[in-house]
Amino acid sequence: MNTKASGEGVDETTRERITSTLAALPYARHLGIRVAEAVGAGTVVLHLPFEARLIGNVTLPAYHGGVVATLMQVAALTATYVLLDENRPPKLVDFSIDYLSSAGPGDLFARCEMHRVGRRVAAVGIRCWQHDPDAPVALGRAHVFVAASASDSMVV
Amino acid sequence: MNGSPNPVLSIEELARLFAQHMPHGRDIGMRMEDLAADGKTRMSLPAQGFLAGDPAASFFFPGVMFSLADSACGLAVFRALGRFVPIATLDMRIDHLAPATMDADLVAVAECYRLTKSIAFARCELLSGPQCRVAAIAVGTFMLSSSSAKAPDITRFAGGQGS
Repeated sequence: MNTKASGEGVDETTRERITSTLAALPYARHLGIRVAEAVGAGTVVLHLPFEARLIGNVTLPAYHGGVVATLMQVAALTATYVLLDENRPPKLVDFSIDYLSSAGPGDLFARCEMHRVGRRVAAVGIRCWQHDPDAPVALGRAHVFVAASASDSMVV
Repeated sequence: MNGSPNPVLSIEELARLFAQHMPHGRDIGMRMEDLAADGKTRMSLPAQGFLAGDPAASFFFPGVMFSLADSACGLAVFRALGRFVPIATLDMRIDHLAPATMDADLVAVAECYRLTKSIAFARCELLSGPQCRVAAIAVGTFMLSSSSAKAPDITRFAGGQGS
């Protein structure tokens, strides 16, 4: 799989939509998360270039687990946003991650699989890898709230 | 670091050093608070615009909360162990009960509630706003390395990645 650059077949509308979504997420911008690939709504690959400030374990060294989780959360939120084709930002209800190996100095990539998209909640699976999509450093799943009324999920 | 125990420094001092020198924690502004009477580990994160999940910077992005919870749980495990051994997060889950507002520091209150020879279980509440309302709850599992157990990770990064 080509994860380095935008290959042929890139859906420019989707790419623009994801790019503008990322631009509207201050923390995603801070970390440097960008679009690697956007081949249709279902195949959004996000890319986080390595930087020393993202390290959580200086001994190994390895990315902070929270940075890996953030990339995967951003992937789940943007993939859901793009799929819904609406201008309502989705909200994260819950998120769970399994760390399969530590993520060393090198770029990170993340891709989503929509397990189910309901009227109110989407169930999203997220895969995060460095060199080989088939050797993920972490797997995650998230429930993303997609309905119009925020009061349904976020009772304040 | 290098895993060698330092007899001069207490676990409290080591935890503080770890919290202060971790690059990601420094980058986003994490702070470790003094150990409270309840024995729980507290970390805080001042609200700054770049930590937001919305353009108006009203709410912390969920990933920011995850980072703080992961670190606080890790420090809680170190304290429960009473020594500084390498640990690895196996998994962590976070439930977002309410948006975390940026009108006050984000606070993580973590505890290690079960410790076995090789696994530690920790949980964490994330409090936001002036009322310190619970915005999220995180639960994680950590693997404790034996003194030689980090070798596989080292070899993974030491060789074969010339590019």
